[in-house]
Amino acid sequence: MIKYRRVGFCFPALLLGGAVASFLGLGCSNNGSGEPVYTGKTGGTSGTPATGGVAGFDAGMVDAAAVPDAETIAFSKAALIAAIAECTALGGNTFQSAAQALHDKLVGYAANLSPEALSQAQEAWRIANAHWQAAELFQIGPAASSGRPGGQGLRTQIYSYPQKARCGVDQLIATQGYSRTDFANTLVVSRGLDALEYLLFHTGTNNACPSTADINTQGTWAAVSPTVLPQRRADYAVAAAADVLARAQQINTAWLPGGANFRQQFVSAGAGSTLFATDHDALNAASDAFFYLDREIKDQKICCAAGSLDCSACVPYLEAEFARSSTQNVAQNLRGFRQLFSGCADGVGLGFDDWLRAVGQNALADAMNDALADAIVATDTFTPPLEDAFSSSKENVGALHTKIKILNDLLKTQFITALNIDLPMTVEGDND
Amino acid sequence: MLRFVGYGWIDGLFVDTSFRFKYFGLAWVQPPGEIGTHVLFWVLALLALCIAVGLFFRASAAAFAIGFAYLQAIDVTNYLNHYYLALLLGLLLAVSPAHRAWSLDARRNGWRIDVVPAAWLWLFRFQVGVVYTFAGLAKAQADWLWHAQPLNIWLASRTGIPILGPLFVHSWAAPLMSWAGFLFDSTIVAWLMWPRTRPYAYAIVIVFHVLTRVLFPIGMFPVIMILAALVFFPANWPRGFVRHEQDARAPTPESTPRWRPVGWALAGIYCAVQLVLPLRHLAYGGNVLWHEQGMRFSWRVMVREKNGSVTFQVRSEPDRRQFEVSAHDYLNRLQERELSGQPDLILQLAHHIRDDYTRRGLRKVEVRVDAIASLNGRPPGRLIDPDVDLAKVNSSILPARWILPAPTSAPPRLRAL
Repeated sequence: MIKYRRVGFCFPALLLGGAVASFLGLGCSNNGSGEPVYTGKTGGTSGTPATGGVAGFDAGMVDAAAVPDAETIAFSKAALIAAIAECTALGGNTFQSAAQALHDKLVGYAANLSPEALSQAQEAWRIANAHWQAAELFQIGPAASSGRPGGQGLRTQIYSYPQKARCGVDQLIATQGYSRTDFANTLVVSRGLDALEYLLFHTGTNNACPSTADINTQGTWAAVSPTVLPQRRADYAVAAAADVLARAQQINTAWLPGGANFRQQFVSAGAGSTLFATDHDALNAASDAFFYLDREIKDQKICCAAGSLDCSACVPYLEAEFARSSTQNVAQNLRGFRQLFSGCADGVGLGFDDWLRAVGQNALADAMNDALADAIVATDTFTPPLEDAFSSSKENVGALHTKIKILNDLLKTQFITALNIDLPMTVEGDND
Repeated sequence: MLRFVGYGWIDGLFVDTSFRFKYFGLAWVQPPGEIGTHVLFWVLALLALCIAVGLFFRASAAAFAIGFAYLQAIDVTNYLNHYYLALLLGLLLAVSPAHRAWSLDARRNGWRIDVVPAAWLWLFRFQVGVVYTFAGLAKAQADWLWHAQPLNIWLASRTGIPILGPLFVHSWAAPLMSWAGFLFDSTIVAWLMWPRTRPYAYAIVIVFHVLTRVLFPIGMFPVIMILAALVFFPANWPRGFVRHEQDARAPTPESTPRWRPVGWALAGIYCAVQLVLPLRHLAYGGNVLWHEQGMRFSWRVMVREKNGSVTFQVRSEPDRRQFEVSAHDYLNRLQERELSGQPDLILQLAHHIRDDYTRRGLRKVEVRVDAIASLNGRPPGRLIDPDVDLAKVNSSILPARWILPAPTSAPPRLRAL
């Protein structure tokens, strides 16, 4: 028979006493009203760059009770979700208009092949591409990959970077495959903004295929005379632009009641949405877009870190070597980041930084806004163009990389911790 | 097993990666390939079913334990405390006489016994008790008790869940639940052992684990513990539900004194290991949640929120070529997340990068790392000494001097919305 010693109550009492003491010692973290509030933004950034053991990080956190109790905008997750939805819709509609304008200019160019028409078409591409580069940071819902909530993989149908296949484009030029009725089903690298850049800005008569490719061995490319080549490129560009326009319309429609109605699913998170059980889940999904900064921008588009003596491995990641807009692409990406993080109106409005402030992380919000501003300035003033800098100005590239990394480090450490956001995962799995 | 199949986790967690992290001393363990991994899961599921119904019990349990251990040894990234517990329970079941009644083996072989040595029951009680006790000890630290972290972080993001969510907005919620969790883990074994409080304690066990299941994605852990805690009830309690079993009496089997000393010795060694292993972090000093030396196999369940950013810097001499290498060049997203806060994984990948670049033709490859991490919401601190060439550091169980001390600032308190 097992004998048990009577459990004394001294030990539990001591524990309870310690618990009460810790409650009293911790104090309240909300202000007197209990409503989380923060100072409303007037635009731009605030706070001073942080100092401390690790560059760019604040050495001390602001206590939640120290947030000034001024006339403010009351933050709510629902309001942030609505703001993100509006900003995404705005960006989507803007891009669709630019894609329409691009298509129209290309139709005009294909009709007469004049240098003026080509210049207008190239400018229209730059405008559309600039809008899309900002939208790269809004891969939410239909634009996101199919593994994400509401994802339909439509981003890749418009822009396939880092995937590129110039040879595929040249093969379709040689075979006139762009005129087939199933053109929309060809590989994504043969359509989209990336293919359009190649078609509009590469005016040489060479192709990007190896000498062993069929179009070279069978003479298919050589059979396309230099006088016919521009017309084929123009006709191909019209088809590709039409496809981009259709995809843009597809994304925008998917947000609306006439399509997948993703907007309703998104804004009703936690209140009837079948995709997002809570508002936090919706914001978690939206935050996945921030990590474009980590891979696509830092590791691929900029690629060459400070101190690197050899950036030749970065050349395959060059984004727009024909239009020579790789630097501007990064600048637009960062502006898209700012729209999502700081507010849709170029940093003004509701953004994730407001959420940080609402939970008492003012210093972190300031640090990230400062790092973002530094990165945008560094990109806007970057010389020479990235297309040349990898070989001629590694130090400049490294300095830009450092600016991006400061923001990225804050994103991957404190930001996701403070808001308890999950990293984008392909497989979630269990935890303990 | 079936959850992994149903959720499609097998490929994502075990197949879709070119690099795998190894346990110390188990670098020789190789994965069985894509088809082999899927087959292994189904085999383990079948073995688990055999254990449950008591069919070829000893062989099934032993095979399950071996197979499950092999599965876990493939990649450290997949380590979870409750997977470790499942392995231990499999081992104990394999050597126990749990199949001697109410099993298909008993029916097939005509066995009938009503009693087994009490030591078996106490051994299982000891195992379950170890989990709770050390989980409680892991919570006896400032972040958990005084700063209510990481629960403050986690609950602040769960205010949207029904019924409980609105409670988490209050500033007292995280401290209350931190202390409740600590008191539960630290004392529940005592309450379960005492007959007078046992029923109520078990009700609390159910409530606690259901709550954790609702709040956190911890898989089968709550189910395992709810069922495992039943060992604290008297051994014959199931017979109360079957009328003919209440009156049945079977002859007491003869004891086997020849094996008893060996059994006691093995049990003693097993218990000693289970007591010492979770405490090995004391030999390293510092904050185990930061340096992670002694973290695994110590029942530190859900006691930290840690996120990091890691970049490797490769340099080769004498041509002085230098590259920055990202972890995701080699890892899937889950591995990258786990690596970001675990120094031993960072060292393993550094060695792999060294070997990879050496294969590419570089000479005298050096690998340093820029690794920062945020623990329980603190501002990030540097995790690894950036001046140390990890390519020259050997994997070892000795204290790692290349891991920097943990930040000493207190974690912040976050408002819940």
